[in-house]
Amino acid sequence: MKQQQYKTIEQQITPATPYVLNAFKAFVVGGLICVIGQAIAFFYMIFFDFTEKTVGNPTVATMIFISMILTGFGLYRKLGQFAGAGSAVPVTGFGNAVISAAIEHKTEGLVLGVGSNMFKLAGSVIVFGTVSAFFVALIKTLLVMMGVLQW
Amino acid sequence: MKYFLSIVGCVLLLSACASAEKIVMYDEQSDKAREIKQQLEKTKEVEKANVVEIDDEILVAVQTKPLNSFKERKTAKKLQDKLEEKWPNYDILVSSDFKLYWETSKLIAEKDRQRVSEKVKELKKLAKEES
Repeated sequence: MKQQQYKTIEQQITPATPYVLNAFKAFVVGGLICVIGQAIAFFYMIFFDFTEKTVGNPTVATMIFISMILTGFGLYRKLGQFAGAGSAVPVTGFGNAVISAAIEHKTEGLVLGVGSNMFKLAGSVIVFGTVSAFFVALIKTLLVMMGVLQW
Repeated sequence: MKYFLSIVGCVLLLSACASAEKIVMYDEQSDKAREIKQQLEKTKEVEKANVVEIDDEILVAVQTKPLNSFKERKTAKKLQDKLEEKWPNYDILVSSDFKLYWETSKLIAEKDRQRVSEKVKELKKLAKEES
């Protein structure tokens, strides 16, 4: 069998990926996660002394806590299978990436297992985020110093 | 059951649309509050607002229309600049923060002026909080 033949047969057999359905599922589930996040933000603003400016931190912490519990019980995996990017893109997906790696490598010990493998997937995100934030802040500081922008 | 739900849905929808007053003042007799109200009515981005004017403190909490929420802080800043120009001796804060809107909505019904004054000071302090 030649390579070309194999390719055509493979393409015939492979089921078509339901892109539209996947995008729809991701849209709905991702939107639902954001609605829950907004509800938690309102909860903190109404019952505690947080303003819109300061409510971000406790909301994110709560969302990650919820995703931690769901990951521990193996429920986030099912959600991820159903929704794909819808559950991976919000901050809960980031929490899931850290926590599931930590659980997976627990048997190898706390330092060499959990410690060194926890940030396997999320480490690059953290490094990229920190470095890009540093550069954006640097550019803004320079622009403010030159008088183009204001804080 | 379906019939019942549709009626409840209609009532809820209608009652939500017919909110009586969009710009509410704490002291309706005050000229300053009325002037601020006129100013707010002229600003087309503003959907709802609470105006609390007590002693030499003015607190205006605005909520913008959904499509304008991306520039709600700019809208509030512009309003603040206008009001500060008009009354330079007053301690004025215009905010688009939901927390301030929620708290001032509760203040509108409060009778005790001393309590309102204290609460306004507290809210202004809270609005400055960064962390």
